[in-house]
Amino acid sequence: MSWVQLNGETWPVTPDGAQLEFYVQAQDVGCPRVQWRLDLTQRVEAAEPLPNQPNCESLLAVEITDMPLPGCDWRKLANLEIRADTAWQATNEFIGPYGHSHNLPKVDANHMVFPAHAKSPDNTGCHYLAHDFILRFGQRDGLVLPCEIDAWVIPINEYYRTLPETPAEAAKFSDGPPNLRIITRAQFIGGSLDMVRCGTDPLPSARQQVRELLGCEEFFRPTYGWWLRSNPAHKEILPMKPGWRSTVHFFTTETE
Amino acid sequence: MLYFREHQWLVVQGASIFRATIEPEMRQRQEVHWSLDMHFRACGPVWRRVRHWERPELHLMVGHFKWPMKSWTDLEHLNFWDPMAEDMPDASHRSGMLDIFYYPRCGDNGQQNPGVGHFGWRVATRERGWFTVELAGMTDSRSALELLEGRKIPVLPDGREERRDPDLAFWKKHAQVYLIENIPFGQVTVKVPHNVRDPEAYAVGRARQLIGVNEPEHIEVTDFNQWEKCTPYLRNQVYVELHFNGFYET
Repeated sequence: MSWVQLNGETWPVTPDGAQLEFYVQAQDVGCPRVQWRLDLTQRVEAAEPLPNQPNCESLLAVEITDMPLPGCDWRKLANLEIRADTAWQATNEFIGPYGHSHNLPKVDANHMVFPAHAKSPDNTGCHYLAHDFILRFGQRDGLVLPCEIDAWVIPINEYYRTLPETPAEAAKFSDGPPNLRIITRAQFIGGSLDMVRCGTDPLPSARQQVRELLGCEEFFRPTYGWWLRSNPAHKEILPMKPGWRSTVHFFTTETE
Repeated sequence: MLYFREHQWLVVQGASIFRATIEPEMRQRQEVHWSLDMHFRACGPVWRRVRHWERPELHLMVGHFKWPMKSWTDLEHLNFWDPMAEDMPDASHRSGMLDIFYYPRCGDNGQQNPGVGHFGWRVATRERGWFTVELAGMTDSRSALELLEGRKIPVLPDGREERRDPDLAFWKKHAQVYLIENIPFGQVTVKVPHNVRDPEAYAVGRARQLIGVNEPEHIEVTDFNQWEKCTPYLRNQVYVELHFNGFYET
């Protein structure tokens, strides 16, 4: 079940729920190894379905990525409150292990209205970002955590600028009530691990790391792939041979 | 951490590595070309609304330093804190050539060696494949040691001198650029003769022989013979990149 209020408009409650996933970087990297991601897609069914059109009138896709895990047990997210203010942001910014990503946890909210249901051609939704947000988790129930998000979102075309904020601007947490509020349930569904070379079967080592770094015994439906590389002519991308670096994916449940 | 101008900086992982290059004619360990690349990007809450590719960047490259090494792990003994004090004829060149490029904004050409004259650097410690590098670039020709010797040293009541490593305030005052950062041993590029049957095995063997590496974490082979468009200089060249800290695509 999921409840959303965006820009003062309360959406119908839906049976949607958020998903919680983990990414574990390889052992030899120089950035935080464990990051988690919260992902919610809230769909509003059309009150009056249109022929040959999706039954969905609009949706809101919200994600918070690159979040650090406090300690070595995902269950410590229970009853955790994160207030993403300047001090918190200053300690949680990092560049990914291979230099391709520059990460600062943000709320990314994409509101999409399907054209057939849009009130006007200009009203097809908006993409928002928020660096100021408050995330609260409640008491854990198995693999599920109730959670609340309060975010002060800014349309993406106003968000990015070419000059930095002043220290006074950056230090100030957003005023007034949040313009994005979410109450939902987040289920820990699984994750991925980058593995250093560890033989032709990376799964035992991955299972051990999931246990040690996430405190998670549930390691189901694992799959893995060897890292890719270009062929010598740089015309094709091919997987390395077994025994090289790999990425392992796993789920926390035996069935979907 | 890096101190340079008014910004806070994050080291750019992947691009910041020790590199070695092995040419076909190299037969001895001391002939291997070593270099150190370090890239930094402005960070901190004031930059959170600026896309990362539009933020200031600082690139430091120490090229062609020379140090008697039997193995890559000997990088941990690198000490060019005071190269002028060493009694070798080419001592001033052993610490390598420092190039600094400061890009205040995206699209700028960059400022080369912005205000940096003399520099000193060393490796403080090693943990597995990671080295803690300390580097100070001065605005004038004084070496780090000269600056340190110019400091007032407190004398204890029993007459002993109380020598301490300089603190950050010292470096902020005297150095144009100062950094202490963990940098991995990242990549070895081996140029392989084009008639070698197994370039990967050949490259690993050469790197093992000359710098004592173990198995790499990733290998990339580039055979310019198979490239449709290739400069004459690169024709018949085969480059094998051995990556020891993940795979950083250059």
